[in-house]
Amino acid sequence: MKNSRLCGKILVPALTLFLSLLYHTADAAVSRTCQGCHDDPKFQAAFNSSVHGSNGCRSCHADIRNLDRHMTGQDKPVPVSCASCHQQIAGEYRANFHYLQEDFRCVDCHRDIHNRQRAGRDIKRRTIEQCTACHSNEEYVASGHAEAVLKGNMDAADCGDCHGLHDTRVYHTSLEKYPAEARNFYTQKCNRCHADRAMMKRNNLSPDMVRLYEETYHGKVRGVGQATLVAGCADCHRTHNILPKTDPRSSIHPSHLVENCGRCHQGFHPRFVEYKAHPDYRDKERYPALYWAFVFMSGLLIFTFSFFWIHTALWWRKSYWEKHAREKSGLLSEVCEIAPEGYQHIQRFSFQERFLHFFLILSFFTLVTTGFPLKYHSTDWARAFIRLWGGAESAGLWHRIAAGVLMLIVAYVFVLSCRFLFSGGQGKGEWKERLFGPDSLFPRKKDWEDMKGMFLWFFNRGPKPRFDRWTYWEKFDFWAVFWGMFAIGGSGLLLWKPEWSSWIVPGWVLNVATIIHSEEALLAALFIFTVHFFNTHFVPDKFPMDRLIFTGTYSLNELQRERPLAYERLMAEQRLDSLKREHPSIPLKLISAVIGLGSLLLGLTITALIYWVIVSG
Amino acid sequence: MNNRIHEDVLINALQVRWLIPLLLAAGLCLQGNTAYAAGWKIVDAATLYSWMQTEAEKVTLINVMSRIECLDHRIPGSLCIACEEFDKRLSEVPREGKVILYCESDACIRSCQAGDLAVRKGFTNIYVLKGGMPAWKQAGYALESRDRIARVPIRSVKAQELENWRGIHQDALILDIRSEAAYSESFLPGAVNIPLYQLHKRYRELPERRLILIVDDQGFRSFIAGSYLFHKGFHDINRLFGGMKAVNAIKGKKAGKTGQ
Repeated sequence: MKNSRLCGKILVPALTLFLSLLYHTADAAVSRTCQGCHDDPKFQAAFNSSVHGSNGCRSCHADIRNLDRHMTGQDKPVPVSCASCHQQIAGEYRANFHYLQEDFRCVDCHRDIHNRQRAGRDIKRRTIEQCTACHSNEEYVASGHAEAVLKGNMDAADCGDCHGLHDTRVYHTSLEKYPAEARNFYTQKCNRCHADRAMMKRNNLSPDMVRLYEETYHGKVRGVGQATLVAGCADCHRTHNILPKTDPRSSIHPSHLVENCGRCHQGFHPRFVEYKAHPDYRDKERYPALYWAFVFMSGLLIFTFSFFWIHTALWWRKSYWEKHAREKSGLLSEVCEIAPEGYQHIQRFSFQERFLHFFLILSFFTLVTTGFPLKYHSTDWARAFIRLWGGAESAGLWHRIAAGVLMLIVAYVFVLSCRFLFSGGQGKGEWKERLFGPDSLFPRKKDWEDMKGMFLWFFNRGPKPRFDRWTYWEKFDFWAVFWGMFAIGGSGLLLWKPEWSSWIVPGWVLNVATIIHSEEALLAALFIFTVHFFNTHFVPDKFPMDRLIFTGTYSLNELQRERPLAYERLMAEQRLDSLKREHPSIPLKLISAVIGLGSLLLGLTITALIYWVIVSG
Repeated sequence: MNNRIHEDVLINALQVRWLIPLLLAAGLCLQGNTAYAAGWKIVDAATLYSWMQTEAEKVTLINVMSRIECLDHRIPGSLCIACEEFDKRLSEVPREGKVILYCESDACIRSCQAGDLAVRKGFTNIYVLKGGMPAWKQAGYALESRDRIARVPIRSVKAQELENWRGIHQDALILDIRSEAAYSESFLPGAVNIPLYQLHKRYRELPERRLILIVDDQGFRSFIAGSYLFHKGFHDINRLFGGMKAVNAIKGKKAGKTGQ
């Protein structure tokens, strides 16, 4: 005992002193470098050729300042902080699942840190080896990606390409806990490769898949920031068994589709699965119904706008030139056609009609400002509108509420129209007379004549046609709403509850409905904001707005000038007196101006935003 | 009790009625209600950090994970008192100043349980760290390691492959490291129970040179247990991926399919 203590107390320090003296005097014999003592092969040639070889030992082990103290065992190296150089990775790693839940540190994966070589082309194989050391990989090896990696395809995804290397997230294990984050994370990872056109073409895969997905309801709703509600890539293609649909093991093999869709959708007819998750409507061979739906809708848009924009341009030219001529010759339009009691106000729209139109405006703008952000979900303004509506879910709710209001309005107008036709009951043929009569909104031969007359007038080839109660463009507006309700309303109802719809129509009809809903919405919005706005408000003799639809009355002068035939009928039938009204009050005028100008400005703003998207591609 | 047991508990809720109030407590705990009826309060990572800077002498941190996990990494200066031992070691918990309990997961079930116990014993100074150690880590604050266990690669066995795996490795030992309470409710056939909080004292009971499959609640704790055993000389170790939670989820699915 005593001896051993003596040994400890005297001999060890003495020996240490002797050795250190020897060490200091014999610097030729022993090198003063780390590798002089640390002679394990991994600290020698292997380290010199490793990725950190040129940094030297002290770059990591900076805490070893006093070599003597270190050599006598007093200063032991503390754990190395990789973050001092690898800051970005350290930042990503802070949210890494392996760190948060298992407290893995760098060295727990990078165990060969002293002889670590640059991976280069070997990165994928090395990543897979590293991960599968712990994670069983049977499923991954069964996937299409793995097969390609093992064949040496450097484009195919290894573990890190999907799960992230240093940013593996904690919510990977908890899709039910963080559905939105997880979906966005994975979808983004898939997009990184699958939206890379060059890479996809190299691998004989469709370069448009991501873009086409983003044009579907799933893609749009996810794009606008509501990933919790819709499927991302991994929801349908699953995780490790990503295989072509021809493979019976694939989640998108026809035999698995009902189960696959059933993960989110309940209560559908089996033909629901005929829905295409990312169809290419330009592909006539594979998606004929979609192709023709798109062709039809495009044709409708092109035809409608070609006609009406030309109509508008010519009308504007003619009106402006005329107004200019009158101003030049010192005449004002008001004094052109002096009539007795020219300023007497006459009722054109009843309170009920104005009320309906006001709610039409409200529901229409609600639909446009909640729907178009979905159509153009990748724009900043789309996100701004969605924020205004309190998020995508709330915007969707308002969209459906407004749709309900609009349907009620249209249904009510239909009832009114029926009443208009069948209210008399004084004889069999009466409804026909009313249908083709001057008070009806039904198109008749005179409208065709009026339209030709307008074009002649545009080109200074004839007088302006003499209109009755309704002009042909007003009738077009009226019927366009009914057509729109059929197209947008019908497709919207199908899309509202797609599972229920599958009991009526097969799944692919929903793809068609999406195209029709979207394109018809564009037609409706642009038509209202350009054509209807011009015909009613921006035409030079009314600019900037016509209060008529809000106040319900206009002057006798205007009636005579714009609808001479209606005026003459009223005079002949001695009904004019019953339609005479007070001049609208200041409050009513102000309210009309605020609502009217507000609507016009909002419509023009939205038009500009839509143009911006279309022009900038 | 064990970490994040709530899913298993829900399955067996009828048999363990006493756990339901506890779950409610945990739920409230997660919502971060400071005025909580259980009598302990919530503190977030940033506030805790500022307390440690300004009034370190009044702050006692208690890591309620196992000793192995606590010494591997903990918030600097913490005591290691496992949740399961909390009632026996209550004398070590100061009644003065602030006592902050925390554990490894963002669902602070273990901390809540320990907190409830302390409150029942009359402690009025108990806090639970909101979001547990993950929140502390994500905020970027440091940890300390007293006895760091270098992690080693451990093969994982997925729950759906378990039967197949057991057929191949019939002489494997299944080591269940969950708490006694969880183990007594249900366990894999043939599994032996050494709770993780006792493993540092009892690992010698394990047979050498035999394949061991480590089973825990959710798959989060078997890795460090495996690495620990590896350094103690047990080199043939697998772990059950997803723990008993994954096994029970599969059972639930099968029950659903057969219309039970």
